Amino acid sequence: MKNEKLSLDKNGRFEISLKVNGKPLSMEVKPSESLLEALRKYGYKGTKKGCDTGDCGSCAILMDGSSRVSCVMPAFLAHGSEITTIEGLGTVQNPHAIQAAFVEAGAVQCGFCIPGMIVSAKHLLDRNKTPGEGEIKHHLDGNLCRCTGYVKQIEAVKLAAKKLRKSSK
Amino acid sequence: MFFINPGVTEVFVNNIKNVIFPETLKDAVSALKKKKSFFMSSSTFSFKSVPEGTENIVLAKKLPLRYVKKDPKNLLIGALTTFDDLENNPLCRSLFSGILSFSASRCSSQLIRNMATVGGNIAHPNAFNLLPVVLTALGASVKVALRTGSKTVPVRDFYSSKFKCGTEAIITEIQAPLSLAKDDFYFEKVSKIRSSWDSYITVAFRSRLRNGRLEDLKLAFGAITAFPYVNEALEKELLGAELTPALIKSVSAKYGEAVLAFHPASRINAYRAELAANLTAFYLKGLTEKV
Ligand SMILES: Cc1cc2nc3c(=O)[nH]c(=O)nc-3n(C[C@H](O)[C@H](O)[C@H](O)COP(=O)(O)OP(=O)(O)OC[C@H]3O[C@@H](n4cnc5c(N)ncnc54)[C@H](O)[C@@H]3O)c2cc1C
Repeated sequence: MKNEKLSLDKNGRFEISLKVNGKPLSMEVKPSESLLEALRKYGYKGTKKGCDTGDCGSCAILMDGSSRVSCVMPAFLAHGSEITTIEGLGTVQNPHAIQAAFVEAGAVQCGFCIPGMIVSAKHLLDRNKTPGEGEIKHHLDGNLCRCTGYVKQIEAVKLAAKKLRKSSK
Repeated sequence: MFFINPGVTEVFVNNIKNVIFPETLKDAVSALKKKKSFFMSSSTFSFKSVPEGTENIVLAKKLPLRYVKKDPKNLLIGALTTFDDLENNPLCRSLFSGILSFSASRCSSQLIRNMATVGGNIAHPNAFNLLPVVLTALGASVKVALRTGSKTVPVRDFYSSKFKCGTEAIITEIQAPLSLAKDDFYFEKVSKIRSSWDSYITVAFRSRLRNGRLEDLKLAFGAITAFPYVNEALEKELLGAELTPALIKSVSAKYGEAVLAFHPASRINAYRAELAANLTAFYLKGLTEKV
């Protein structure tokens, strides 16, 4: 069987195919480009560049359903994958239940870390509809916030879980 | 933060020309045969430290190496199993007192646990690597695919075997003997914050008591050197002996002294030595209560 292979084009780029927020997309990326940089270049600016070392979680995205940091991942690694960014969850007019819960709970101050937190919360709530406080804390342990004390965000995830349970009834 | 990957330059050099997605191990090994090729699993540790001059990236993504299962003798863990998989897998939770699951939960953050693979964690010796310490206590072996075939070596001999992981050798599986699954296990990682990847010390202990005496024992310490630290002479002092308060005190103190000797002038190491002594004493005292 022939293995799939990406080769550099004459401009020194790989052409990768992936799905972003449900839409098929082809991206031209440099070998040294992180998935974070590529996403931002293609307009998905809700994914934030914080530490660039995988420590702060502001660049979190869902890759094939699980939350990951996109800054320590080469863009070429996303070839063939499904990516969901914060833009894929909801809009200002039609927010996702988790986004709405973060606003309602007053969990947002400067807002820089929030897209990453919401993406982490989405992964958690996709696999656990009734997480306890300990589980929420454990799951969001890679999302650093420099404004708040991590209290309102935990409340927001609990509220989001409630909203999601209600809407699925 | 710096990414330290022994034997490779810490600079990402933009020479990569091809990315290959092998679907079988055979193809992966033969793709690595090409000069200037480098194997990458989840990239958490390698993206920013690809060896200088690398032209071909061999991506693990499509290899069928993400599993946890049992055969009659061993718990088998595929190299692409993530820390999150280990944390949540029912076999990892139930066997070996759940040490695999619990220790995996102490690796960094959820966002990293969802990515970081078992193979990537043990490929190169690093003091912060969590799994080698745990696997040492488990008496586990590492299966490696090479151009010449496959080899299985005990974790304790893995780094001295000098496999060129990522450029010649591919770790395919961890094998943990089920004969030890019912032993007593203990894990602790002492770090500044829960999700930090550095720790002052990481310990993984295993023991089996018979008639109030230690029939078998492995005390592995991480974060002291790039390899898990084990002191067989001190283990021998404990084996078969009655765990009296005096013996526990003396052996624990000796562990402290041994750890201190690695960097006698370092204050952090002095703290580490104290932790080594205290955790050993804590564990052994706990065993006497089980008698
Ligand atoms: C923010 C952050 C926090 C971290 N915290 C921790 C922590 O708390 N504890 C800890 O132990 N580690 C930690 N790490 C390190 C890292 O995530 C782990 O070592 C991880 O398991 C590496 O797996 P990977 O799949 O990402 O490896 P990669 O980055 O893909 O590869 C790492 C190296 O191993 C080689 N390699 C990978 N897979 C194989 C294989 N199957 N066979 C042979 N060679 C292979 C590669 O060639 C490369 O040299 C952290 C990393 C980051 C970025």
